[in-house]
Amino acid sequence: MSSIEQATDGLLARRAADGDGVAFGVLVRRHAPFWRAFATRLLRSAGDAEDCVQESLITAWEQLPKLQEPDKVRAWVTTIVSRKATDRIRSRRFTDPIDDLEVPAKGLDPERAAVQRSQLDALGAVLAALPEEQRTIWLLREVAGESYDDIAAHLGVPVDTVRGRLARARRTVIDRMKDWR
Amino acid sequence: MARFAALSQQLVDRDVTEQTPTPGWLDGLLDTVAQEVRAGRDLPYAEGLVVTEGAVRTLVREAGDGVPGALVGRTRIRDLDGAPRIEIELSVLGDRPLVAVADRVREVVAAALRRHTPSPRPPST
Repeated sequence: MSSIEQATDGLLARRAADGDGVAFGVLVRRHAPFWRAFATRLLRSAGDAEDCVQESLITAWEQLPKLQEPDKVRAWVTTIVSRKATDRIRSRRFTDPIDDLEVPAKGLDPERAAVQRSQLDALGAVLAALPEEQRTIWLLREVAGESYDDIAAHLGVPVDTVRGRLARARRTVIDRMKDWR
Repeated sequence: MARFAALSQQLVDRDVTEQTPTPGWLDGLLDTVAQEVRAGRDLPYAEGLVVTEGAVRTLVREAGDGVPGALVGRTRIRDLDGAPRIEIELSVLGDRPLVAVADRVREVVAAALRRHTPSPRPPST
């Protein structure tokens, strides 16, 4: 029996497109922690993030047969996650309070890498404080590595708007992080 | 600016290692997906009977994966003058001889299809 766990993302995505739930399961186990963490940074709520990823994966399963580049399945699902997260942010505006602003972290670390750690904490706080539109674009660009065109297309805004928001986010990040140079 | 991109990626990577998903979340997620079976179109099977593409693909994958070193990728089912033809994308793991593994996969898949397809014209692979 060959181990499907060793298969590449591309092969798993092609099999999943054919209806292989086992292959899809391997993909999900491999990448769900990343999608969850990414969605948590977008939504600032772990519970919302988990619901969002679940919803995204059902969409991904349905749309897999249409995926043009199976090798990029992780990035493709990340895009779906960000789109669903954006929908959630829009629908909860003025309604639900955010349940857990602080991203929970398991214990670790006394002194080791304390500096690096606080630098990441500082950046996390800066990103959390950005306006949602800017934070979403920042995460899509800097973490997911999406192009301006892709971000514009999937958020349904002009490319210039994407550039503008990213530029504002950058100014804020540089300003607030200047002590960390 | 590249520094902040790298830091942002490290931030999410750290979240991945340090955050614990709600217990049962991942399994629940996989259960949800498992319920969405993709049956595909019907293929003629025997007089008055059909078999779904999904069932044929599952059969092909299970037979092919059973060959040591072989991993079936995408499968395509085409209609060739009334008889289905099955094309299999194959990955061969490690340094196993490609042609020998492919031949073996062709054999076991054909055998599996013959076993489960009592038509006078078994699908060609």
